[in-house]
Amino acid sequence: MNWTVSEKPIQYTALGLAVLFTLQVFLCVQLDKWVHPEPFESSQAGQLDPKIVSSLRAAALLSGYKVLVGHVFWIRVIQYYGDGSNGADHYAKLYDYCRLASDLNPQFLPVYTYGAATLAYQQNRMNEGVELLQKGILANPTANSLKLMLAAMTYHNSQDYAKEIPFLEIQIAQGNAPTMLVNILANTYTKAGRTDDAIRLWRQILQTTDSDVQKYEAAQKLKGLYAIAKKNLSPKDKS
Amino acid sequence: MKRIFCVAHFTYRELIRSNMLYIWFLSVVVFSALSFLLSILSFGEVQKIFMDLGLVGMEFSGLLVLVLSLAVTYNTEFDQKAIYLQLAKPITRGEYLLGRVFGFFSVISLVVIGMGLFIAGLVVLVGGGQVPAFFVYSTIFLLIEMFVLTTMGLAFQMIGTSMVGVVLYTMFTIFLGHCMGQVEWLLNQRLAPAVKTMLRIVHFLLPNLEAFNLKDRIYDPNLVLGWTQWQEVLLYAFVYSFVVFLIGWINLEKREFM
Amino acid sequence: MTNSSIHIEGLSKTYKTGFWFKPKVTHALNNLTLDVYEKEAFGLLGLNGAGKTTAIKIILGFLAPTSGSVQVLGGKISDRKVRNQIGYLSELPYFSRQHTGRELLEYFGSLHGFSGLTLQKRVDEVLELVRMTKASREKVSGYSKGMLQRIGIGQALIGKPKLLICDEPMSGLDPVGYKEMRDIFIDLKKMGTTLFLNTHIMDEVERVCDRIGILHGGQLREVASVSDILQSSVHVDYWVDVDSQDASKLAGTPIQKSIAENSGVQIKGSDLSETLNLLNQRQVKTKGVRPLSSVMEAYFLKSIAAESVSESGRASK
Repeated sequence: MNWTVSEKPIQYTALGLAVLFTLQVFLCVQLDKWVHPEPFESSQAGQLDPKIVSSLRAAALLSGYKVLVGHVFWIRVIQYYGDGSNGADHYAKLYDYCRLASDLNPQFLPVYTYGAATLAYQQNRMNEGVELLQKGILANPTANSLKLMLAAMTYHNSQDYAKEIPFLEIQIAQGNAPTMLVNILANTYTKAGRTDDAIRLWRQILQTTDSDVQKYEAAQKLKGLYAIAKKNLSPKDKS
Repeated sequence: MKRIFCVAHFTYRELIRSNMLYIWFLSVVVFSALSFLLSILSFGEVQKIFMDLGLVGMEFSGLLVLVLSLAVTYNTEFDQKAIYLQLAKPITRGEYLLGRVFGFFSVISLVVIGMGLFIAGLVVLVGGGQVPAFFVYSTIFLLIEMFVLTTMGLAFQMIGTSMVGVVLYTMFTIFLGHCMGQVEWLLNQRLAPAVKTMLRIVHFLLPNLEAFNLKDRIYDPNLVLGWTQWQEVLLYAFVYSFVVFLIGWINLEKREFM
Repeated sequence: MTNSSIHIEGLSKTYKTGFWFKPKVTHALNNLTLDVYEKEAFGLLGLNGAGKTTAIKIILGFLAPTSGSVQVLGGKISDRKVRNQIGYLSELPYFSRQHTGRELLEYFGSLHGFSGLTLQKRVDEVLELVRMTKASREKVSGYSKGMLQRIGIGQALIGKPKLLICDEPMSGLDPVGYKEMRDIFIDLKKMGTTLFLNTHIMDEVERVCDRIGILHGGQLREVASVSDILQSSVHVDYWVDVDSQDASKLAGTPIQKSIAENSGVQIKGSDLSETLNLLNQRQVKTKGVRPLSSVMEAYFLKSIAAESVSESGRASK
């Protein structure tokens, strides 16, 4: 078969091109119906510099590496929270950072678990924590850890620590829970009056953590808990 | 068909021996290191990080191989005129071009699949985790994307008049192809009809690379990937590649070698 | 009547360069009409920019003619069967540096439809013919210029071509390489292959070619048989060596002064026999007679000296 494009076949080739191009357009339209999730454009800048948000969006979209940008940006969020100087404004941008990170990487669960736990338990910004978790649950309907977290936070909000504890325990038992969550459970034990459980947990943290800051914190907590435990001993037990 | 295979085999050997596999090693090292680093700093989801970054590394290395191969072969074939001796043989220009497409694609596939196996092996053997099915589907979609881009790149090579031009056209197509989702969003906004028409033309002229981009969605529970979607994606890739191939072929047929 | 391997009729090629509203038109070829017959060796001579390579590119289909037609081996170059019978060596051929000589020949052989043992056998034959058997398993990146040319001629011959087209096949070769290439051409001629050579080297033309064509400014000036040119002595000047002491015997002749001062005299080819007769009559012994240039070179220079041309050698507006 001679495939050389001489004068006459080139007319057929041009016609064929037109037909195929039209077919390609049709297929493109069909693909558009299922390919694209919620556009990234919907995220708002909030307290963040709109230029930063736009730059990130551009980097993510132009490269097609949204998840890579998301992962790298998440490091930035952790660095932001780890920088003590940002505490001066009570980490005002934390919620917006977490929301932006979740836009970039909706299926990355630590954004929701770590972000919501920090906002709710450490910054007393329960509403923002809850909103973040709700967003995470919408994007990840099968992620039970987020639902457990939400339940725990709800009970924490109403100071019903006894009901909050089981949700936190289940989440930690599933594994891969951030250390912060273990801390939160230990503190919740203390609030619920379960001093022995709190001591057990702080000891575990002290023995397993590599972080000097966490060791120090655990040691301080244990010191306080031992004092409470000693105080609570009956005179018979004391003797 | 035999001649097409000969050209493909020749191209494959030429590119492999041009040390393209160093790109594979480099990508494996860089993205593995990045994955380890990010997994330590991210507090959790180690397997997800490895999968995500693995897919990014696979695409990145595939694209790097494509762009470098286009540059190297343009210099050899057109600037140094190695193409003359081949086109003087009893091979049509269409066969030659198709052989080049398959040759390029075979090298890119080797790099992409090799890296995919490495990542999957790392996750399973070292991490003790499981490889999600969507990782495999994402790899297949990535290969389909690479095929479309290979055809596009070689068509640019047939049309272009300089190595730099070919590389730039290809890179811009890659960038713009990934913006198609945002172009659609723009089309749904209030814009002047002329602007919308232009955007539609751009939308349909450029390859919609987002159709092959599953790497952002391998853990997306809302993702539906049934037989219909497979059909549409494969058909779209085939038709678009064929259109681009035809354009490249016609240009090669009509090209005068001064 | 001998068949034409290449039949060119009224071939013209015009280039337009520069801006679209003020293009510069270059006539690379102007109404070229030429026949190259079967089993002959035809040499196309011309200055740089005369249009030789353009002619070859049109014959092989790399360029489209502005007007005119070309028939190769009785058919069109676009026909695969025609190209299967042609071998082509470009000027300064470039090969992929990553392959060995053997692999290159296997590749080009496979494009001709050879495969398996037939291909291997053919490759071995060609490597033997071009004296590249020992170096065939080394990468092309390590080849010298001569070795590259030999591999180049090898890939041209791999398909057992009826017609071999070579563009400056001797360029850059050392004397050994040049001799080897020339021997290959002579062997091919004996085997009945038609040769079409673009060349500058007069010695090559004299020893290999049967006919030559001289291209100048895109136009074919002369087509002549090599043997006819060589047999005619009228085109060169000669130097006649004579003992200066015999100058006195040539008193009153125009050559006396030159012989007295230079022990010899330069004579035009057309005057050679007359001069020798004169020396004989005056009993002057000649020590030797030698041509001052090659016959072919002289013929070529004379052919192109007819009109003044532009610097590039092409007629342009």
